[in-house]
Amino acid sequence: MQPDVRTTLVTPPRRTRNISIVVVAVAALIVLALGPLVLSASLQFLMLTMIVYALFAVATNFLVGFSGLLSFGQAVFFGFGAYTAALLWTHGVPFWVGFIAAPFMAALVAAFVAVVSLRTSRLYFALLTLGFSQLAYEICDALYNFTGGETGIPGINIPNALSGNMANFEFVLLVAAVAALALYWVRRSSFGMALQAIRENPTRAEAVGIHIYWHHVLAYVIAGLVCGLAGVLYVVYQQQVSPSLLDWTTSGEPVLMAVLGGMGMYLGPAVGSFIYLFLQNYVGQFTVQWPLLVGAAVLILVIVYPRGFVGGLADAFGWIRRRLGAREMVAGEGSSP
Amino acid sequence: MVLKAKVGAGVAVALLSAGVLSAWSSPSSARASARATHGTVTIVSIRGTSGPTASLGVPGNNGLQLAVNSLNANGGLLGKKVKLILLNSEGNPDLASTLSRQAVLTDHAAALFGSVSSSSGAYEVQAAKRYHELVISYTFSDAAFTRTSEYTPYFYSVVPNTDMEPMAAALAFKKEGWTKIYTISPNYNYGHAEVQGFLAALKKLHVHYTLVGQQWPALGAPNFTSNISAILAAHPQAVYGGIYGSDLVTFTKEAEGFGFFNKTHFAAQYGAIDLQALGSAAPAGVVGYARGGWWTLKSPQVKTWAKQYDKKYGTYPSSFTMLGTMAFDAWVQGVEKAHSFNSTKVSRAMAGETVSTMFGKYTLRSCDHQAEIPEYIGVVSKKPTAYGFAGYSPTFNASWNNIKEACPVTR
Repeated sequence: MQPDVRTTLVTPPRRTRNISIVVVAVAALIVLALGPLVLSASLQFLMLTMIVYALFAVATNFLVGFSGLLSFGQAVFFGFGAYTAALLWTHGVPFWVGFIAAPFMAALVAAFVAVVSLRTSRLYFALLTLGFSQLAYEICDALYNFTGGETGIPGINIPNALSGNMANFEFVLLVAAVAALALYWVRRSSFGMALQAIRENPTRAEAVGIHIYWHHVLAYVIAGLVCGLAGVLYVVYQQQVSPSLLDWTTSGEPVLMAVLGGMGMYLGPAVGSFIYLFLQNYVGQFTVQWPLLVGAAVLILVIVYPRGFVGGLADAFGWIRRRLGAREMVAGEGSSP
Repeated sequence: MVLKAKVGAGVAVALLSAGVLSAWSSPSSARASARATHGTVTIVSIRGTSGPTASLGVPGNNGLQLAVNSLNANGGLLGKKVKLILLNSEGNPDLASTLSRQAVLTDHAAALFGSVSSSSGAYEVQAAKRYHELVISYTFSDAAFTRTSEYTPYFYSVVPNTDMEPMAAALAFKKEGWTKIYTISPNYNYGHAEVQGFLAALKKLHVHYTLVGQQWPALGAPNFTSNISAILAAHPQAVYGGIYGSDLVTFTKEAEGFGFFNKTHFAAQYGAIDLQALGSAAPAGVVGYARGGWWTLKSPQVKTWAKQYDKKYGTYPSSFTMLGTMAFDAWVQGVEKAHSFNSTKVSRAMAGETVSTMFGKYTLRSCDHQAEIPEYIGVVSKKPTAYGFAGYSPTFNASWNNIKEACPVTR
């Protein structure tokens, strides 16, 4: 019994834990915000890609890791948000109208996909979302006169105030951070708790009056909205869109990022996106077979350590803390009068 | 105390991360300075050397590499050796976009030699605009890049564009009297622009045609049997094909099985590489056109160049080997004239310049930066050329004067 008692004693109170999370998150944000001052142009661009994909991965993980809905169709909403913004802006619609409307259009599409797909069981749900992803890609590719087909839409104009390197970077970072925070708030709300209850024990959740289907639909819509917003941010920094944004492989990327970073932690997928894109960019310079490395890393993680990179870090810190706590206790016992 | 410790930890994480970011940012600047100190200048070629456009991508790169090797062997350019970096865009516009950015921001390329497909080219032209980087295309040919608001002074087209090439084909259609027409072209900006240019050229030549159908297969489609059946069902007198490369080779082999070439006339971009790939399956009697018909040129220098290429790569050059060499010559001449590698200065120097190449002289038009070059078009014959593959002599006159357009009025 002794070790259990010691462990309990050294666990910090929840308030302290929350403060430490906030401090680390704010520190990370400040560091990221310094990017344009210290990074070269190419690394700034890579960092922006990481930020946008981090939001995309966190939103996807809201479904996959948090709600237990394995969706392979999130690229539909990412791409839909991007294309809606791109088309609105190229047709002269004011920037802010497009910026706000595009995520909601993505959410609308997500509502349709959710209402149709969630009537099926888990496996068929995953397959249906995959099907929607491929359907969206094919439609986009076929509508050449509207979407630019395989060429996509290059050279999208954004306001001058946002086109400078610094402003563009800070804008994307700020919006992504606010969206991630909002999603975190949803996760901690009673709705989020209900989603967690459904994931852990759907029968019991239903027995206490939680409507599983509509909770899942709403979760899907919220994730679609945030994925759509990530798509809009993609256009803000890339100023272009192509059909590959809607491809099923793009849907797979945030899932891989979540697995790499850790599905159980809120910011795990964000860290996963950084690792994934780092491998893509740096290993990709030496070999075009870099996905093999990512695949191997994912395989090892899933089999050996499913909590991912951030889960591993948390466990390591926990272990160190317990060891230090144990030493303090032993020292404290020795020096007591 | 615990709170203080946490804040301290946060600050430590922040400082550590900042350190990592700074360290991370150093390689590119280190690379840049290394480039300057070693006396080399970097140029980048972004082409699909795998995927559906590889049969056009690889020979173009080979041509550039030979030209760079030859230049370096003769002392380089402005006292510097030229380093050619080859990036594979896999025929994917998204990847081409990323690579063009990498070429500018990471490799600090003095010039960028463009992709195969115009869908990838669209993003390279954007890079030219955004970063004021000199981009020279010798393969992607959408006329929009030189003739519309897409134009940027940093872009040059050393390839017949999607108005010039279709005009060459339209001249053949007019001469042959083909008016009941079908078109098949890949479903992206080049494919649509090529067909649009072709129909506009027919109108310009006062050909009263009937369009009996159109097909827009994807670039790199695995087969064309449904397209071939649909075309034959419409009984066209002639088919204009915008498909090219491995797609054209696949189409030709499958069409042969349908007796396609006995039932309708066909015109498409049969270049040296396609004709070599088809071998005895090359369809005699079809109208073939090429953007760089080197095998029709009689110059001994060109013959030696082709033989040397064959010796090195085990195959004869393609149109794009020739055009790549011509594009490189244009850049070299621009650099020498500007006495600088700066994109803005070289771009200005190239405008209106007459470039001397082993394939003959040509001028880079100042008004839109389009090279004044011809299209090579003729009837494919089973009789092998001097190089052993089926070919054609330019039986239709598609000289620059016959296919050129006036300068864009808006500029």
